[in-house]
Amino acid sequence: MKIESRSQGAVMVVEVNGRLDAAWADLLLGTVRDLVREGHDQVRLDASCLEYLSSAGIRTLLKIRRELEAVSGTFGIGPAAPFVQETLRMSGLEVLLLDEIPPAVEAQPAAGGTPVANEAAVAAAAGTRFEPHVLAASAKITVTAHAGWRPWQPLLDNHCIEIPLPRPRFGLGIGAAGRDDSDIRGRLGDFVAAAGSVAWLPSDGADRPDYLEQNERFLPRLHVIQALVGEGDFSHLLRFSPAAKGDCVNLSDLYEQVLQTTRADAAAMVCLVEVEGLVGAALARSPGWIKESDQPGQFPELREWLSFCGERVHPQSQALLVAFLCRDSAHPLAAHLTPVPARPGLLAHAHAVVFPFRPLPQGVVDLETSVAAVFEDNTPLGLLHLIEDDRPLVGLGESSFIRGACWCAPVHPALEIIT
Amino acid sequence: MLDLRQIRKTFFPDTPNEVQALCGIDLLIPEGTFAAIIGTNGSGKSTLLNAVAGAFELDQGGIHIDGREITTWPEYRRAGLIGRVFQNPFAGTAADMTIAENIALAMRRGCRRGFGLALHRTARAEIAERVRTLNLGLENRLDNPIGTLSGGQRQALTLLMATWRRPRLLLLDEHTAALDPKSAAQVAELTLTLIRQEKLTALMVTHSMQQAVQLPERIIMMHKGRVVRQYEGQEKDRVRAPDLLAAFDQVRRREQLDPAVAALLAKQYG
Amino acid sequence: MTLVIGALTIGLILSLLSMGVWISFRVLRYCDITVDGSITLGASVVAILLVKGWSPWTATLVATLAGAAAGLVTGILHTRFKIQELLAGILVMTALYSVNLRVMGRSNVPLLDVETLASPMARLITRCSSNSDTLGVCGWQVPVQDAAMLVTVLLVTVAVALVIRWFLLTHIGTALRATGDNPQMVRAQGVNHRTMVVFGLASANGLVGMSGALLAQYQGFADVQMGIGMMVWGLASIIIGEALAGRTTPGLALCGAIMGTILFRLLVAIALRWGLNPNDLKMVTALFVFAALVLPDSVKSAMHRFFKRQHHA
Repeated sequence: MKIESRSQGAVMVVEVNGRLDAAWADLLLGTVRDLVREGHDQVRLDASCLEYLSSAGIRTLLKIRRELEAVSGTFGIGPAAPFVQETLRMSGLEVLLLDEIPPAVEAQPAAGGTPVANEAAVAAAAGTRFEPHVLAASAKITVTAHAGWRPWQPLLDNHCIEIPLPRPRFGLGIGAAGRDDSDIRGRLGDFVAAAGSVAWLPSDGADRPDYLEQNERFLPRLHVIQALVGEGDFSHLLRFSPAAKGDCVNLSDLYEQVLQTTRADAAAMVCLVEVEGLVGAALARSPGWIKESDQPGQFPELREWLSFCGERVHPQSQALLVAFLCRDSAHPLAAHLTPVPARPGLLAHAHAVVFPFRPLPQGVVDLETSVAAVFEDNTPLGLLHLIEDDRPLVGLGESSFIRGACWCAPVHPALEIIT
Repeated sequence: MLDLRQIRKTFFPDTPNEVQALCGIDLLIPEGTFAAIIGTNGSGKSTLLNAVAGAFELDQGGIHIDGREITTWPEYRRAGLIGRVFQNPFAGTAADMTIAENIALAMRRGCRRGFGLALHRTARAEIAERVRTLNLGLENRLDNPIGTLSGGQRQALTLLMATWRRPRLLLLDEHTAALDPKSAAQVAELTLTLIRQEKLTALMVTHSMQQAVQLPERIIMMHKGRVVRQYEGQEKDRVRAPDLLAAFDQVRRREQLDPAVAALLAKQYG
Repeated sequence: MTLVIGALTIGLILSLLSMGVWISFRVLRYCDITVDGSITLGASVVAILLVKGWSPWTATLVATLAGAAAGLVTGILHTRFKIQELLAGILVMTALYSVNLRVMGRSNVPLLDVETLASPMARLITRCSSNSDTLGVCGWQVPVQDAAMLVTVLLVTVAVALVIRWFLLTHIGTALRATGDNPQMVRAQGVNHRTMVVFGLASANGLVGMSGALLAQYQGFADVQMGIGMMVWGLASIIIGEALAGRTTPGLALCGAIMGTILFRLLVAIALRWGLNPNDLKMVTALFVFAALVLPDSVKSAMHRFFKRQHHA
């Protein structure tokens, strides 16, 4: 079988030649998935040169249609060889058949979202196109900082606090879910919370993050020893995608873009991104075990307490990223952030939880439905506190992303600090 | 009981090919314990076994079996205490000699070999009887050259030979790795039976996480010439193959955390 | 008849050499070229001792021990000093050339009218055959000296072969055989394989030395050149023997070595009688060994190809 794809306006036409049977169905599915990944959500199949269509082929066509609908895309077959039309009609699947190539559907901005004509922002990072949408121009995020425990002091009972993390809260820090403080003492790990879902990496030897989801009456709660929690509406949605195949955006560039878009010195952001590579660390041993005599912050003892990713991890996966950043070291938020080596003067704190890849619809998308969909389909693969590895020569660099959606807003200067 | 104290070995020292194969290994295998060594290629697990067997001299450290120091004993002398099965089924038997003759050799392991006939009548009867317990039908082929047998059969016989006179320590060097899956399972089962029956102290190198989880009482994880983790008791009973793989991953990641990374993390973490 | 008796006698004498070569080449799988020197050593030692009036039995025993010592040196060079096996043999063989000249004092020692191993037997036969110089065997007149030598050599060879066979079935003998087969396995069974190699080479060269001693007594002289090509000769005999008797058990292999040596000697005698230039003999022997080592495989693969083609047709 031969598969060729060409773009016709906004529509991607995939031409198949030969037999579409069990042996070749996966190849077609893979090709279409790659197109969706690249952001093409309107796909048509040119089946005029198809010689044979088996049930396995039909199944794949239905699967492609479902996947495209999931990202608000369209899929149809046309033109098609007469036997293809007949086969599909007999199977009651004529919905798949198109009579003519439909006109390209322009990406419809959702209600409330209006693209910002900000040429400077669009061109800011070479290789990546940024597409800012205004959601609620004056919205601000209120941040609460729980600064009970500071690394790497021994953990005291009053360091721990239980906080609810329901919608629309989001946040990051160190914590664990459990009955009471003593129960979680041995499992405290890095966490990410957004849109009613909380994921954390227990530090008791587990290699997969655990997670809680908000249901009708269940509100996720976490015992935390250190956390930054944001609450409020996002002012902007920043969509970004590669200008050419192979392009990606570094985390620090994304920070810069967020600060420009929100026109603020301090901002909070929640992103759903396709990962090019993540660099980070995670707690390997619970801070609950630190004794007075320990020196966890020193090498080599640090090895016991933190695990470093060692290479750029989780390429081509999807990540839910929460970050707080500010440019002004006088801002109250700055005390809870660490410097970003690539951008002198910039301070940030970011955690990311990783999932298998799942395409995101184009245009303006809703944070809560998108995050819910991510957690619904898959269990998380990993969780990292993102680090920029700026060691000369051997450094892994910073985390970078291929495309994604970033909800962001300025942070209210009044920071509530709970110690 | 096997007691290893600070064992060190560097191959090709002071050359570009220098390999630090064993970097100060301390290990205590109590009497009657069956332990498995797992590790990546080049982690030094086979080297450790060879060091115990006496295939080369150590740079440093001591090897004690049942309280006797054998560090300076040559390989053949250690064989009096140690039974061995190799990865290659051809390595453990003399191919051109008969099954009975091979076993006759093993019957005198650790004893003086005199000018008595190797295969007198009582020896033959004993051989036939114990080979019958293998249930491989080999008792009728005692006078066939051992080279005519399959890898699995040879490995079963090597195992029988290694345990014929109760060894103080049994060394198994990936002894099922070169066999087809069915023979490997049979040999693994035989290994377990023999070790349990005789309550042997045994050290097995294996590539198979499955085997490491199922057979022994203790798992020793090696990486770059060091013992990085041990599972025993309840922890060993709970552990599954994916956990071992995850632990390896952790070890590898831990290794990445050098002082430079530590400085990085100190600045950027928390 | 003289031809047959001569071939038989020399064949039996060289059987000892073949058994020695068999031990090193087949049992230990060690290509030991010391043989070329140790056979001459055996001959020269026995010659000089007989000339000095030693008893033939003691002289032969000392010659055997001298051969064994040569093998011992080769073995130690190889195992202790890690010299390659062929080189270790060549070193000892080269050194033995000088040793042999030293022992004999010159390049050739004739043994005229000295007491040999065959002398008691000759006296016995002479007494039995009413003091005549010849013996009637199946209508042939055979010189008593020749008959006595043949009988003595036959007894010695058979006795030695029986001893070797018994030895190879003992615990030590089994370990020796396993050493050649798989040294790794032998070490794992608690045997010092180096000792085994040294011991095996010493016994092998002891046999060769004994063979040299008997050869000198039969020929009536010892010559410093007599050892050249003897190892190849032994190989040729073993190969013929294996074709005749197989190599499954030590007993059969030993029988084969003896039969092979005699047959090879007979073939050579016949070839010489038919006009083969004696100078070409070593060349022919070498070619024979080459063919015997190479042909079985090529014939097998040729047959295989042939049958495959037939199968396809």
